[in-house]
Amino acid sequence: MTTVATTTRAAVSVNDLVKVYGTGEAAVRALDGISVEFGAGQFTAIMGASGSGKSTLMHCAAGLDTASSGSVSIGSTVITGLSDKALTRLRRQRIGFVFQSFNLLPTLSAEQNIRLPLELAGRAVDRQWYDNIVDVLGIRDRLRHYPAQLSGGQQQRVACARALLPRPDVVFADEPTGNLDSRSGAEVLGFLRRSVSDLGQTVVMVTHDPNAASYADRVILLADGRLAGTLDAPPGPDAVLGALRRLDGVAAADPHRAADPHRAADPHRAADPHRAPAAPRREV
Amino acid sequence: MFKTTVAGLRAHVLRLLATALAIVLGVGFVAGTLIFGDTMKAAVYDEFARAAQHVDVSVTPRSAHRTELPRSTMDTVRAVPGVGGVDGRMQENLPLLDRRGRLVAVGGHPGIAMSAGTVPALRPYDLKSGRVPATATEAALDAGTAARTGYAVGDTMTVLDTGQAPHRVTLVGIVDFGDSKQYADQAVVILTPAAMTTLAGATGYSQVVVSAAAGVDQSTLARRVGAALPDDRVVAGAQYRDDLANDAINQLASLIEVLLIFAVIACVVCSFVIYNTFTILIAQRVRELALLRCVGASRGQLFGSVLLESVAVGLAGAVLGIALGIGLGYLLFRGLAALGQPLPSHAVVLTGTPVIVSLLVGVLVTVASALIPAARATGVPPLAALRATPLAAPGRHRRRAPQVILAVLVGAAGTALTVAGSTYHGDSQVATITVVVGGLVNFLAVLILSPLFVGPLTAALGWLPGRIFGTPARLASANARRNPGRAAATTAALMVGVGLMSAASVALASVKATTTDQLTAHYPVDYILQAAQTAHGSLGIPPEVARRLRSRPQLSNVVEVRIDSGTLDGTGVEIGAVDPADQSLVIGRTMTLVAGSAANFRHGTVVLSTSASAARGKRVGDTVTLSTGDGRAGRFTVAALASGESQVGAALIGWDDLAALDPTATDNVVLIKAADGVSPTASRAAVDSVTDAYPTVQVSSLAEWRSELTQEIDSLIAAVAGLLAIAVIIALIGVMNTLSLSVFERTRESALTRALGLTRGQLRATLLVEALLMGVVGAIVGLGFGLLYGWATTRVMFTGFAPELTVPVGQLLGYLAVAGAAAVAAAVLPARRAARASIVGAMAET
Repeated sequence: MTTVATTTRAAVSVNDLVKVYGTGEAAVRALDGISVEFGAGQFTAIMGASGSGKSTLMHCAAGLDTASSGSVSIGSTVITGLSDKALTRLRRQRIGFVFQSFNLLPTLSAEQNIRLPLELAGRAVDRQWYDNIVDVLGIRDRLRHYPAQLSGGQQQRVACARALLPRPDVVFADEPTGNLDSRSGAEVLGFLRRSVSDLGQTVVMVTHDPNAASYADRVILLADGRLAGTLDAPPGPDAVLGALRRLDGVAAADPHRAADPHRAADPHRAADPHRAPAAPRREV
Repeated sequence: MFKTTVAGLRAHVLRLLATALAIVLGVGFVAGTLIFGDTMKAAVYDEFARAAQHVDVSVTPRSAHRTELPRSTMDTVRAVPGVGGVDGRMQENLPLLDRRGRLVAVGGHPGIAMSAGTVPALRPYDLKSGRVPATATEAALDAGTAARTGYAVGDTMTVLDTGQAPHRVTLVGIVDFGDSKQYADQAVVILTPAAMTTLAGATGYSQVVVSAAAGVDQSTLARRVGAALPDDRVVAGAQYRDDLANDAINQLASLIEVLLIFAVIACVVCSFVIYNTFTILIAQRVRELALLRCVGASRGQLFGSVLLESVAVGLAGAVLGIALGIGLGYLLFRGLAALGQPLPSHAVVLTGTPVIVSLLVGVLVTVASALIPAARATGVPPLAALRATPLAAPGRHRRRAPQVILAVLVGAAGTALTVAGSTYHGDSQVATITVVVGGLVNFLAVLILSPLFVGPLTAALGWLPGRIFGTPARLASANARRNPGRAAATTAALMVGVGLMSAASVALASVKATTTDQLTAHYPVDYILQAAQTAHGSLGIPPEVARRLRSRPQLSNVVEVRIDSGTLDGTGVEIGAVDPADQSLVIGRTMTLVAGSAANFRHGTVVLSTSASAARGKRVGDTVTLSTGDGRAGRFTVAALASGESQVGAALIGWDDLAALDPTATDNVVLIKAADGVSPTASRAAVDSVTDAYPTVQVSSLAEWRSELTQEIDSLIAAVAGLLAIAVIIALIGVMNTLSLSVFERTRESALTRALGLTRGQLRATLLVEALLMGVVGAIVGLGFGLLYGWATTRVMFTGFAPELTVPVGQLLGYLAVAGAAAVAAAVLPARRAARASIVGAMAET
């Protein structure tokens, strides 16, 4: 078991986390004693093959799922053992989410979707911050539209705006570009990157795409529910891919479980993560 | 394809269960009504077996003018060859007093007396204990009354003769009418023929029964007796029994018709629910259907598959519905018997007709409701299999124009019919039916239009909960609006039930208010004496009652009213007369004159009440012929026309004129006004001091009388509401169904909102508020519609009555509250299921 120490203050710390699904013979240890810290103001990517436990780790860290043992803290709050109600309150006030798909409520307009967590928490919207986010994401002219009237990229940008508006302690992004074309994906990743670099936001992203991971300050690699290594900032996609390959070798895992190497070969994606995205955008 | 359908049915069995439940209720209602009808018929036939036992020929008076057969009939019949035994049956009213001197009455009806019968085999009863009376001071009593009053053989009982004078008779036997409830718990006293004449005033026979000699056939004997008695009604024993049964059945047949109308309403509501469920199921199975198309299923096969599914659901629902119907039929039968309806006990009868009708209704209603969804299923392109779950966009602008045009056209037709009916001055029945049909057509227009207005109405209603409960309520409001077609179909079912309920309430409340108002305005009296009513008419109030009342100083006015049944130009009418001494208290006050003048009312004239069908088309100055039961007739000039329901007969004539038409007429109603300054206790004591000697006279204060009328109408409202409750329950099943299917559809959405910070409680609240909004929207539209048409119908039902529109606000708000609460209750299970789901698990679902 490896503990990854960071120099920065931890926004989220996971300590000896175990998650078991099922019982007896059918029991599966999705997380097998993981300890990790996600630094505040850092962009961390969690990588691993399908079934490596990366989504489970995120779900437990975000209070969406309960741990079998071990603990999770958001800031100084230990969330393991909190009641459902307390967890819900914590999510709406201190955590932002961007999911792979089905991020928005179809009955609400883009603007209503963005404001939803604050409304649920009964908090006032910081108008200036709201305008800022909306302009940076370039969705001002889409605010009155309903999700069905938005493209996939636009929907993810609205989801990003929603995640950032409450100024959460941490934003969890679960394969945020999984359903997008490369250009829209790059836009969303670029925005997440800048929210960390320019606004000091903490972002934890689960992905199986090395190119997406290359936007992060740090990459955490998982295999079979255990921590399998880290790459420190800022890793290029090739470095990530290399690490994954090594990981595969170490874990002697099925090569198909590794990330798709063709994606990494995509020239657009293999670019410098800090490079401005292809689409022209307003500055923060 | 068949296998696929069966597999699909198995997979969706839970989702189809709720649909089947709606059908079960609808079919159960239909089956229950039919089974009840069959059981009732069988029971009634059995019931008359005892009365017709051993009777081969029955002779009864034919003419309406003659109510009795003369005593000579017996001799005439006896002379007919082939006659074995002959007996004359006498039956008259005979008030019986209990041990404390009070009238033995059931539902205000005093008992009857029956002759003992001289031929034992032809007696309509069996002797249970003791013996039949042999002298004029002996009597036998039916077992039921004996048990109720505690009279036993050897006791002395008091009966009242035709002049209401008490006589004492000795109880010598207890008789039993078998299973028959022909006399419906009435007190039946058996007397000798001589006592029947002296005490009960019998002058002849109500029926002569004949048994055939050995070897003589019933119908042959009936023909021979008929030839001997050409003026009487002579029928064979079997026919007699059928006649008796049919009479009784006809009285209850209208009840069956009314029940069937409500059963049809339940089935209509049921079809909304089925249509909606299938529409939602198809929408949810778009991918599955598209996949079937991809692998080669034709449009026709998809259509057939959905229809086959509906047949299976309909059939299953119908079978369970029949089972429910058997139970319901039994309960109806038992319930009515418990309410004092004269129904004999009988085992439930299940014939083929209810089974076949129920199966047909169940399957046809289901298949017809599934037709449109099935047709929609064929429109699914194979490509849809490859698409991601489409996001339902709210406020999609679908083709609104055709819908609006259709609704306007239908609405115009409905409004035209309503206006035509409301302004029609002829037969009020025609006008009422026109208005009701207009209402139904307009309701159709509302249903067509409802997808357009249900959304905005929900938004408007959702505003307040949104303010109070915040975001969850706003989400609920948005969810309720997201699929206008679905919301409209769900709420439509509720609209029907609540609409009819409120229309009935408004109509009946208006009738109630109008009646009580008329009582207060037109009856400036304090007490009303009424004669006891029997199956054979009113017992009458002896005239000396009024005479003795007049002698009491506490009472200022005592008005005698006589009401007699007769005909006006051949149409049946109640002929009334008021004694001349105090008639000013009645004429011009109880009757509001609309034409002519009270000054013209004198000997040889009549005041007609326009509400009576016999008075239709008559004008002041017309000459009409009035005739009473025994054939006396006279010509009268119409002096005035009065509006409204008359409490003193629809044709009011002078006191002497009535005496000429019917010399035996006696008081039926006595109106009493207390003298000024006399306390209610004192005046009541004065009235009671006179009436205590007349057990058959019912005394009520005006307040009591009013509350009696009010209670009658209230129980009617309760009955209608109860019958419509089934339709409302089916509608609520629809709400539950729609919500649980929506919850299923929104699994990921619910998980997303939970992830974003909606607590379990808030998620539950979201669904409960959504249900509340649907329930309240349906109820509000139904209430509005019911209010409008309840009033329109009442207006034309009582033409010339000027009924006042009364809105039973409390009751209507009660319906609204019940609809809302029940809708919320219907959402409890789906809401629980939604809140229980794990976020991560639900997010993973596609």
